[in-house]
Amino acid sequence: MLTRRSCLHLFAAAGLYSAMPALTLAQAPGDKRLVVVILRGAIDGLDAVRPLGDPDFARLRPETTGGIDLDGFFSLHPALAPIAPMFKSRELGFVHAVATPYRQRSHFDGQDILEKGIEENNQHEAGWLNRLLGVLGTTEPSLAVDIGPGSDIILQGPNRHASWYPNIDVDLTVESAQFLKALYEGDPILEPSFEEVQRLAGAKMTSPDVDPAISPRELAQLAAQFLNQDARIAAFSLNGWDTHVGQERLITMRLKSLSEMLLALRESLGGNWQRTAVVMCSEFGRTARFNGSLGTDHGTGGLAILAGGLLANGRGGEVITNRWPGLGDGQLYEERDLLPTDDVRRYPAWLIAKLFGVTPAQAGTTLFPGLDMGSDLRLI
Amino acid sequence: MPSLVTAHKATRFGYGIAGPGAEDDLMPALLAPPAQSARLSAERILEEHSRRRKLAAIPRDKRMQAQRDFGRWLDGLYLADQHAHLASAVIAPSPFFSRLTEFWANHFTVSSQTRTARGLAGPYVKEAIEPHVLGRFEDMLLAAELHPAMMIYLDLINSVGPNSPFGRQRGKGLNENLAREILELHTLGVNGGYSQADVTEFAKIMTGWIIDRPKGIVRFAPRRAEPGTKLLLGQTIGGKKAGQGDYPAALRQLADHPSTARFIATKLVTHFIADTPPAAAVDKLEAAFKESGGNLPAVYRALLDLPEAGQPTGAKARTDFEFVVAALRAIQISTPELEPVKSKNGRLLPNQLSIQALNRMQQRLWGAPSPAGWPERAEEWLAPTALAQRLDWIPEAVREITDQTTAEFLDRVLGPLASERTRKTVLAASNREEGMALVLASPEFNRR
Repeated sequence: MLTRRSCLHLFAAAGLYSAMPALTLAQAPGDKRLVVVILRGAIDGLDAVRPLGDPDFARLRPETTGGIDLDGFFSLHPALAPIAPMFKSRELGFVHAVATPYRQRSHFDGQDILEKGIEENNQHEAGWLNRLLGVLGTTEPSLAVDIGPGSDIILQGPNRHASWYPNIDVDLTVESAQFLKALYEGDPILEPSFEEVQRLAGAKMTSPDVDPAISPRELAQLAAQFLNQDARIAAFSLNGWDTHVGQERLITMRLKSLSEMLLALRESLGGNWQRTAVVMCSEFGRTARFNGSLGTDHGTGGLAILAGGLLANGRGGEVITNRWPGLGDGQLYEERDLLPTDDVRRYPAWLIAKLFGVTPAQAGTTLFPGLDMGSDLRLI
Repeated sequence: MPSLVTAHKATRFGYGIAGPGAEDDLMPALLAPPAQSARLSAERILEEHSRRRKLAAIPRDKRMQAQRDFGRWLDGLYLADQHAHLASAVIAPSPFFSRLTEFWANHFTVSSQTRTARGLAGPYVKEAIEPHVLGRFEDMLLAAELHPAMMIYLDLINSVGPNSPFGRQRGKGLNENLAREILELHTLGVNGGYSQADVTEFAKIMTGWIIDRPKGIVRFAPRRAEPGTKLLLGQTIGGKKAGQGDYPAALRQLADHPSTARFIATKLVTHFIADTPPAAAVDKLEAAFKESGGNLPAVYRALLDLPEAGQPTGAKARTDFEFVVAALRAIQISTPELEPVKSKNGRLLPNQLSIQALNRMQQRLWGAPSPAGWPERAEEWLAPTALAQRLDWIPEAVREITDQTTAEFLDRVLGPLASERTRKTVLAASNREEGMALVLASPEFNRR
C-alpha cells in the first residue's frame, strides 16, 4: 500500500488548494446520466444469457446447462443471480445477437471500432463519447469522466473531459504549480494532463485506499461519486472476458464482479439511479461451440447489457433481439459464430437521443457515422 | 556538451544525453552487445516441476502454507528478474540496444497479467528476445513462439489436434489464440492478407508442441499433433503425418512474407520516429528488411540513415520505462540502490526508485494489458494520473543527485535540448532541488 510521503515531497506544501480556481458549477444538459462500460476481451453472450429455448443450443453447447429463467427462452448464467431481481424490477435488460460493423476477429481493431463508433478503423478518429461532448457544445471538462488506470479511447479526442484514477497522490506548492504550468504551456499532451492533475488535486475526491488493482465495485462507486456531482457521463472498462481456456471458472469470476459492480452503482447513485441509463458493450462475441480447451475463441455476434432506473419506463426486463438468428446448420456466421442481426451502436445511439436531446439524425451521423438508426427502440 | 544532432539522436534512439554510451556512435556501440545469458527457463521449469510435485505430496489439509511459500518463491524470482532487467538498462553500454530490446519485447509481448506465464517473463526476454536483437527476424520469431512463456501466455499448451490420437482419446481440440496473434500482431499485421481459414489451419499446424516439465524442455509430441496436410496462405504444409518441422517451416514462411516486412518496418518507424509514420521512411526500412532477408542490423542501419533520425525530437513521449531509466541514468544512480527491498519479515518488495515506480505509473514492466503490447500513442497512457505519478516520483529521484548546481544538472541532462523557456523556468526555481525536479519534469525530458 502506498502512503502519503508528504515529508519527501519537494513539490509539497499546503496552499495549492486555496490557490486553485474554484470549480465551475455544472453546465450539464439536464439531469439524466449515462454510464458506458466496455467489456474488454469479448464477453461470451451465449454463456451469460443462454438461449436454452433454442433446441440447437444443447447440441452446440453440451457444456452449458441450467441458469435462471428470464423469459422462457433465455436464461441467466448463475453467477448473475445477484442482479436477476433487477431484471424482474425492469432495471436491467439485455440485447442479444448484436455486433458492431466489424466482421474480423482482432480484439484491438474490434475495440477501436466499438469505441470510435465507426465502420472501419481509422487511428485519427476520436471516441464517440468525445464526439458527443462536441455535439452537446459543452466546454466544461467535469461533464464527462473516464475512470480507471488507462485512458479509454471512447472518451479520447479534441473535447476536454475529466479522468480519474484513485492512485493520484501529488501535492504541489503554488510556486511549483506555476513553474510546471509554464513548462507545459502549448504541449498537446502535458498541458491538458497537468491542468487535469491540478483540477483533481483540488477536487479532493474521496477514494478507496490507493490499491492499483481497483475492483469493478470500486470503479462503480467512483463513477457514482462523479455522477452525483457535475458529471453526466461516465465511462470505464471491465477487463478479462477473453476466455480461451477453462471458461466456466473465468467467466463465473467476471460475471460475479459485474453483478457486484452494477449493484454498487445502483446503491451509490441513490436517487440518481432513477435518472440513469447504463450500457455495456463488448468488441464482439465468441465461437458458438467450445474450443478444444473448454473455452471459446473469438467470434462475432454478442451481447449488450442495459441497466438503470430509466429502463423501467422502457424495455427493462426484456431480452431484446432484432431477430433471433438461430443456432442450427447454416444459421451460424461462417459456420462458427452467432450471427449478428442488429448493429449494437443503435442502442447507445437511441439512449443518447433520449437522454440528452440529441436528434436521431445527429446520433446517426456525427456520433455513429453510417448507422441506420431505424425506428425508435423506446429503450427508456 | 554534445552537438544538437547527437543530442537528438541520443534521445530518439537511446535514453538521452546522460549516462553510459550516450554520446557514442549508435551503430558501432550497438554491435558490441552484452554477453549472452544462460538458459534460465529450463532451470525455472525443472525447479517449478519438482516443487509442484512436493506440493502435491503434502496432505490436502496441510497444503495451504506450502502453496503460499510456492507463490512467494515464484513472486521473488519475478521481482528479482524485473529489478535486474531495469538495472541493466540503466547501465547499458549501448542505450540503443536496450531500446531495441524493449521494442521487440513489446512486439512479442508476454504479459504477466496472465499469472501462469509470470515466472517465465524474465527468462523469456533474456532467451528469446535479447540474443536475436542483432540477428535475423526469423530467428527471433522462432525463439519467441517456441518459448515456454509464449506457449503458456497464448494458450498453445492447451491446443491439441482434434484428430490426433491424444485429441480423440481425450476429446480435446484446437485453441486458436496463438495462431491468430502471430498472424495479426507478430508477422503479417491485421491487414496483412490472411483469413479465418488461415488462422484455423495455422492453429492445426502448431499442435503437438508441449512443455515437457520433467525434462525442462519444449518438444514436439506427435501424439497431440493434427495429422494431414494444411494450407497456410496458399502454401501446403506438412504431409499425411504431422512432423516437427511443420510449425518452424510455417513460421519461416510468415517471416519471409512481404506483409511482414511492411508491418515490421511500419512498427519500427512508428516507435522511433512518429505515431504517423512517414511513408518514405517505411519504404526504406521495408526495402532493407526484404533485401537483407530480415537481417535486423541492416534494418536498424536504414533507420539511423533516415533524414528524420537527427531531426528535432519531441514528437513522441517517453514510455514510463524509458522515463524511469533515463532519469536514473541522469541522476547517476549506482545499481545496488536498484535492488529489491527486504521487508521486516524477510519478504522482497519492489524498490521505490525502480520497479515500484513503474507499478505506480501506467506501464508496469512486462505487464502490458494485452498481447498487442503497450500502444504507441502516448495519449493512451500518459494520462493525467500517469503524469501525477511522474511528478510524485521525481522528488525521490532528485534526492540522489550529487551535482552541485541546478545549471550543472540541466547542462548534463538536457544540454542543447533545453528550450529557452525551460532553461529560464528551471533556473528561476527558488532552490536547488526544485530546479532539478523541474528538469526531470520538463517536456524535453518527458518526450523523445
